[in-house]
Amino acid sequence: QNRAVSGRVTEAETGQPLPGVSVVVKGTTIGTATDGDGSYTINIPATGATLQFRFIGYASVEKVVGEASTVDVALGSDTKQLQEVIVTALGVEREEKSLGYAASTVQAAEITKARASSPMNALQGKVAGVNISTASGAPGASTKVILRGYSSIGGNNNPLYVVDGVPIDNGAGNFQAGKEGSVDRTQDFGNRANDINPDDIASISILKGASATSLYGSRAANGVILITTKKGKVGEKLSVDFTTSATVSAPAFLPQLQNTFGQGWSGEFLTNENGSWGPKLHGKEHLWGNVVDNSQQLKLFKAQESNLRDFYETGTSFLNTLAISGGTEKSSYYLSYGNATEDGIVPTDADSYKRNTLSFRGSTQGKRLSASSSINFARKDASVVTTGQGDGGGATLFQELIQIPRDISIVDFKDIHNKFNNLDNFFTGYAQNPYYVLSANGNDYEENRIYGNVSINYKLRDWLTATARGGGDISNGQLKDWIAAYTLAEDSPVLAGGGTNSPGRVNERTRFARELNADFILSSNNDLTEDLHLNGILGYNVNERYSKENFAYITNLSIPGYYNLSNSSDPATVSTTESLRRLYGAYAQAEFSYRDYLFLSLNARNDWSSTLPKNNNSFFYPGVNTSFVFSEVFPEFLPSVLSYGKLRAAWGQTGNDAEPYSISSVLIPGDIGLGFGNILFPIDGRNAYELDNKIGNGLLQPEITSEYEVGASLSFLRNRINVDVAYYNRTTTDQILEVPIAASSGYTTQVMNIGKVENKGLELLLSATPLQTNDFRWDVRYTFSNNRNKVLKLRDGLEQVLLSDNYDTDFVAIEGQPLGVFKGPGYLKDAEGHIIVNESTGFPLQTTQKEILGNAQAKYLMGLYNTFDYKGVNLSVGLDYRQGGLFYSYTQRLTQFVGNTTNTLYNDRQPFIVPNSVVGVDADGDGKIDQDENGNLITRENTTAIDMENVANYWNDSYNPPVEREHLRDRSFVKLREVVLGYSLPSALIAKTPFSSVNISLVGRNLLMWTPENNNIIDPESTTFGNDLTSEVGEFASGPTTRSFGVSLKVGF
Amino acid sequence: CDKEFLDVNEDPNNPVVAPVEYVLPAAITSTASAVGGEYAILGGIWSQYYTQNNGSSQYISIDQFNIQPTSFNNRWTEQYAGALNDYRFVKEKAAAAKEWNAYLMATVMEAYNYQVLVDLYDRIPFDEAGQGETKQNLSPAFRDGQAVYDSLVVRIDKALALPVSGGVDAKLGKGDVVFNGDMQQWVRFANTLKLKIYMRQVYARPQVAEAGIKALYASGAEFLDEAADMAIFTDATSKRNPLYEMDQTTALNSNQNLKASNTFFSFLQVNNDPRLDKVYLPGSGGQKAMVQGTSGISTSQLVPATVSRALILPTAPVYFISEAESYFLQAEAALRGFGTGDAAALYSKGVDAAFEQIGSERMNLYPYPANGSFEDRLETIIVQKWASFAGTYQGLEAFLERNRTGYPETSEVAATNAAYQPGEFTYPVEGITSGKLFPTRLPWPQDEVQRNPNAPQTPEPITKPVWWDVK
Repeated sequence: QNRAVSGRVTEAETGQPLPGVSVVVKGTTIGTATDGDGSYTINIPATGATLQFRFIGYASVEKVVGEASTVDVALGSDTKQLQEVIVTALGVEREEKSLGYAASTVQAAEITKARASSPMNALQGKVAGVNISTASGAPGASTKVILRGYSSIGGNNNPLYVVDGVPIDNGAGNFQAGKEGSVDRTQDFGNRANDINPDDIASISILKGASATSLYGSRAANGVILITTKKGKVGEKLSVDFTTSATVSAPAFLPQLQNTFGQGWSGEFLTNENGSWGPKLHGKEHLWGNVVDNSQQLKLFKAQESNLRDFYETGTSFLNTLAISGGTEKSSYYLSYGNATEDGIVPTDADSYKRNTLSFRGSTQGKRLSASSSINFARKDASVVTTGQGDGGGATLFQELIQIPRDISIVDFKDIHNKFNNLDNFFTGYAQNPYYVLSANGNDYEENRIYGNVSINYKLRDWLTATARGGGDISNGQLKDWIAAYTLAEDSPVLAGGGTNSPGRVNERTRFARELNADFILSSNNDLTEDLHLNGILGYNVNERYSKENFAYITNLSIPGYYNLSNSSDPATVSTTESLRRLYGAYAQAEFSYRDYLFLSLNARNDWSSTLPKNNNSFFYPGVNTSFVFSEVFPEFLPSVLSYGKLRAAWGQTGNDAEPYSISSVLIPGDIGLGFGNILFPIDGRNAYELDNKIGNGLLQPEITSEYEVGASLSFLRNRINVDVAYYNRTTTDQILEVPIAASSGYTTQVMNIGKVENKGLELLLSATPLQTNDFRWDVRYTFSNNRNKVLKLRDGLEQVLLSDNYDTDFVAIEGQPLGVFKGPGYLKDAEGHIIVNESTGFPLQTTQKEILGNAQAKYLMGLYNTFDYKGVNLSVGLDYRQGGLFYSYTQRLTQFVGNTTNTLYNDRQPFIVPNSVVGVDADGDGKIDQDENGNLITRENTTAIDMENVANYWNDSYNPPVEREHLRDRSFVKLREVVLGYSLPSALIAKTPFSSVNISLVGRNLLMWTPENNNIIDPESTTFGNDLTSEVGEFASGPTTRSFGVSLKVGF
Repeated sequence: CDKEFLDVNEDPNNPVVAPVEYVLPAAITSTASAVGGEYAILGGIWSQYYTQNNGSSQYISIDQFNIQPTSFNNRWTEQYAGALNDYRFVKEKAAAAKEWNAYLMATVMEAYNYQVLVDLYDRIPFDEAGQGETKQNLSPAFRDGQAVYDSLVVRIDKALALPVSGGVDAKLGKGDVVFNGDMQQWVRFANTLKLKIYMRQVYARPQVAEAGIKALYASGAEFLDEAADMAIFTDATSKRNPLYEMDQTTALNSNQNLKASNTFFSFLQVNNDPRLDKVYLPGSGGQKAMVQGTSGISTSQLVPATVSRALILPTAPVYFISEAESYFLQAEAALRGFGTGDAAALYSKGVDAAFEQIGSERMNLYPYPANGSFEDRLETIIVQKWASFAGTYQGLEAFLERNRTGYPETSEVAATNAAYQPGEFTYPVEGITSGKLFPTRLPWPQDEVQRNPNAPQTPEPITKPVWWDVK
C-alpha cells in the first residue's frame, strides 16, 4: 500500500528554494527530484519509509516520514567535502585546508576499481604532477612513478614509499646479462611496491613538494608516497569482504608493418634472408627456405598481414582477496589473503606471475597505552620473457620475431622439431626460430618478503603523546636463468649462413635485502589561546638498509638441457656484492592554526648518514608552509559564486645522500672489455686485480633539493566546481654524479657534487559535477601538468654527461637543455642547409660532432576521468594523454633494418637522389671540401642517386649514419586507461540474503590507444632500461603492451 | 657510539690495496686487448689480410676507411685507464718496495703501450697522464709524438740501470704473463723495444735512429730470441684470445665478418705458401678470397658462405714482439749498417721463425735478394715481416710498418685487372677517403676530446701521416 508525500526543499542559509534536489526512499530505487520552486511529490510505502535528500554542495539529509504527509527540508552547505583528510608526513592526518602545499589522497575504491594487480597502475592519469608508466605488457612488470619530473642526473629519482608510517624497499627487480644499464638479455621482475595487494590499501597519499616531505630528510627529494592499509575498526562487528576478478588480455599495440615487399635483400628474393628487402609481393606460389633432404617448402609470396598478432595468445589474470575485519570494545583486527595469478600474452607460461599475500593488522587500546601492529607476507613466483638483445647464444624472443619477413607465417614455426623449423635448417642464419627461443631459454624467479611494523602510543598528558614505532622489510629473491646449449650440424645451412653455436649458460642469483627503521616521536596538541592552536612533533629516526647479492654463472654446458651450476668443465664465475648504509635523523615540526583559517607549519630535520665522509656527514633540511582560507575570513567581500577559497605557499629542502662506498677508490677483479665480450680473470691459475676506473671522493655532500610552491584551492557554485592549482619550482644542486672524465687521467669517472637541475611547472586539478538529476549524476575530473625540466649547470669544461647510448644515439644531460637529450649523427650541410652527399655513393655525409635530435620531455600530461551514476549503475571512463617528447625504439631500428617498417616504402624502393642534396667541391684535392672566403663549404648539385642495391642500406645506419634519427619516435599518446561499468545491488534486494553488499563490474584497462602517425611501431611507454632516468631513453625490443578486460565481483558479508 | 654506528662505509666488495703481482696481469691484458683485439681487427683489415664479409656489416666502417671519433673510444680508454694507470700503480708500488724486476716489467710494457698510442694518434697525453687521483689532474696536456719517443727511451734506460736480478723472479712468477718471471728475457724485450722505437724514426730522424741503434749494439745489448707474447689463454668463455673472444664467440651474433682479402690471399697463393691454410678457413667450395672493400656486393652475386674466412684460434697467443719481428728488426739494422750481424742470415732466421710460429714448413720460400738494391732488400724484409704478422698476430704492426716503409706497395690497377701483382695493396672498392688515400692514423677519440679541454679540438684527417711517417 503506497501513499504520496510532498514537500519543499530550501537552502538553510537563505531560505531560497532548491531545484533539482534528489529525493529517494532509502533502501529502494524509488526517487524523484525537486522542481523549479523546490517542491516534490513522491510515493512511499505505507510504513517505515525514510527519505534521503541529496544535492551536490550540500550536506545530505535523511528524514523519517512516519505518519506525515508533508516533509519540508532545509539543506545546509556541505563543508565535509572540503575538509578532505590528507595523510601527511609520518602518517599524521590533516584537513586539506590546513596544508600549505599540494597533496592528494586517493581512496580504496579508486585504487581497486579497474582491477590492476599493481596499486600504482590504478592511479594513472588521476593525479596531477604524477607520471606513472608500466615498463611493458608482461605480467608483473615494473611500474615507474615520477613526481614532478626528474631532478637527479645520476642518482635516484623514485619517490620514497612509506606503508603505515614505515619506509619500505621499492627495489627494482631488473636484471641484465651485461653491466648495469646494458640491454643484454634484460629481465624485469617488477619493483617491490607492486608486492602490495591493492585490495589491502585504504588510501594512497602523494606528497610531491619538498616542504611536504622534508621531515623525511635525505630520502625524500623525489616525493613520498604514503600508503595506508585497511584496518579493522574498534567496536564494529565482524565483516567479511570477498573480491574476485578475472580479466583477459591481448596485445594493445603491435608494429604496423609494410605489406608490399617480401623476403630478400637489395630487391632480390633470397631464401636465407631475415628481411623484406625482396621483390614486390606477387601472390604466386614459390619455393622458399632451405633444401632439406632434397625437399623444399612451397608457399604463396604474399603478405602475412597479421603474422605477429597471430603469434600471441590471450593472457589471463585472476585477482582474489578475502578479508576479515572487525573489532571489540578495545581492539580491532584485519586479516586478509590475496592472490594474483597471471599468464601473459606470449604462448607458453614463459610470462607468468603469481603473487600470494597474507596480511594481519591488529590494534588494542587502553586508557593511556595503545598498540598496533601490522605484518605482511608476500610471495612472488614469476617467469619473464627476456627482452633486449641476445647475448651468449641466448637470443631474445621479440628481437627474433620482428625480423621475420612479411610473407612468412610465424605460427607455422611452432613445431620446432619439424625438419624445416629446427635449429639446423631454419630459413635464416641471422635469426632463430622464436618458438625455439621460447622453449629452450627461460627463467624462474621466486621472492619471499615479510614487512610490517609495531607501534606503541602512550598518552603522557591529555595534550602529549609518545610514540615508538619500529618497522622491518626483509626480502629474499632468487633467480635462475638458463640458455640452452647447442651445436649446429657440420652441413647445417644455418651454420653456413652465419649462425653460431651456443655454449649455453646458467645464471643463479640471490638477492637479500633488509631494511630496519625505528622512530620515537613526541607529539603535542595545545590550545595556546582561544584562537591559536599548536600541534607539535619531536622525533628521532634510525634507519639501516642492507643488501647482499650472490651471483654465479657457468657457460659451456656439458649435459644439454640440464641447468645446474655444476654442469660445466669451466669453473663457475662468482661474485658477492654487499651494501650497508645507516642513517639517523632528528626532526621537529610545529603547526600553528589560527581560528581555523590561517595555518603555519615549520619543520626541520637533521640527518647523519654513513655514506658521506665521516667528518662531514650531518645535514639539515628545513621547511615551512602556510595556508590561508580567505573565504572564511571575509565571505562578504567575495562574489557569491565562490564558495571556498584558499591560498597557500611553501618552501622546503630535502636531500639525496651518496651511494655507499662512493668516497674511496678501490681495486676490482680483472675484467678487460673487448668491445664485444671481455677477458676475465682468473685465467690459467692466475688471478688479477686492476684499479677501478672510478676515483672516489672524500669530500662528497648530499644532493640538496630546494623547492617552493604556491597554490590556490577554489570552489564555485556551492562546491559544484573545484579548482586546485599549484606552481612549483624545484632546484637540485650538488648533484652526486659519477662524472665521466678523460681516460688520460687514468680513470673514466669521478664521483662529484656538480650540476644544478631545475624542475618547474604548473599542476591543475579541476573537478566538477556538470549534471545532476534525481537518477543521474555526472562527475568529471581533469588533471593537467606541464613540468619544465632544465639542466642549469654541469661543471666548467664538462659539456655533457652521457646517460645511456644505443648504437649511435646518445642520451645525454647538456647545460641549458632538459635532462635527457637525444644526440645522433648529423647531416653535413652547406650554408643553405642542403645535405651534402658522397659523390660516388649518393649517401649523406655526417658531421664530426653529433647533433641534438630532441628530448624525452613531455610538453604536458593530462588526465580526464568521467564518472556517471544512474540508479546504482556506475560508469567510469579514464583517459590519459601525453603530448611531446621522443623515445628511442630499437624495435623501429631492427624492423627498419630488415625492411619491415612502413617508412622503408619511401619512393617505392626505387633508386632516388637524396632530397635537397648537393655534393662537396674539392678542387685542390686535399681530401677536404673547399671553403669560400666566409668559411662556408662550396657545393654543387648532386646527380648521384642511391642505386637499387643500396636502397636497403640507405635505411641502415651502418651505411647511412644520420638515418639513425629514424629510430627516434614521438612519445605522445592518448590512452583509454580504464573503463569500468559497475552495478551495486540495491540494499532492498539483498536485505534477505547473507550479503551486506554486492557489486558486479565489467572492467577494461588500456582498451584503446592513439599515437601520432610518426609512431606506428610500439607503445611509447615501453621501456627496457629500468625504473629511473635512463628508462626515458625508450625501449630495446621490449615487446607489446597489453589491453585487458574482464569482470569483477565484490561481496561483503 | 654514533661514530661506530655510522662507520660502515668501507667497501666490503673490493680491496683498496693489492700486491703488484696481482695488478700486472690485468695491466698487460689491457695492452693485449688493444693490440690483440680491436686493433688486430683494424690492422688485419688495413693490412689487407681481411676484408668485410658481404652478408654482414660489423667492420664495414674500418674497411671503408670511414673512421669516426667514436670508433675507438673503448681502446683508448682501456689503454689509459686500464693498462697505463695500472702500470703507473705497479711502478709506484715497486719503487717504494724496491722491487726493481716488477718495475722493469711495468716500464717496458708501459713504453710498448705508449708507442702504440703515438703510432696511431701522433700527439698524446703522456707526462701528465694518469694523475687523476694523485694530482687531481683531469685534463692532461698532449705531447708531440717525437717527445714521447725520446722519453720512452729514457724511461727504459732508467729501468735497465736499476739492480734487476738475473734468472727467474719466483715472486712475480704467475703475475708475469709474458715470461713467467724470466728477467733475462725482459732485458731482451727492453732492448728489442728500443731497437723498434729507433727504427721507426729512421726516416724522420735518421741521425737519432742511427746513433741510438749503434749505441745499443755497442753496449752489447741482446735481443729477443723468443716471442714476447701473452700465451696463457684457454678455451673457456672470457679466457680466450681477445680477437677470438670478440669476433668468433656468441658475444657477436655472427662469426662471418672477417673474410679473406684478395691482397694477402693472392700473395700466398702465387707463392704456394702453405700458410694460406693456417690463416684462412676455406669456404663451402674451398679456399677463395674477395676483393678488398667489396662488402656491398649482393649476396646472390657472391654467396658469402663460399668465401674463406679468418682462421682464428681460441688459444692463440697475443704477440707484443714476435721472434720473427726481432730478427727482421735486426736484419734491417744490419742492412742499414747500424747493427752488427749478417742481414741475409738474420732475415732468414726471421722467415724461419715466422713459419715456425704459425706451424708451417718454410720449404725454400722467399730467398733473400743478396744482390738486389738496398730498396729491394728492404722490401723483401718488410714484405716478409708483413707476411709474418698475418692473421691473428700483429696486423697493427704490419699497418704501421707499411706506413713507415711503403711496403708492400700499392697496386696501380684494380685487383680484378690482369696486370694486378699479387700481394700489392688495392684501395678498398668502397673506400670513402678522398684522393683514394690510405689511412695513416686514428682520430683522437671523442670521449677524450670532449672531456679534456687540453686535447686538440681540431680533428686531423685520418690520412694525415704521423710524425715519423715521412717516406
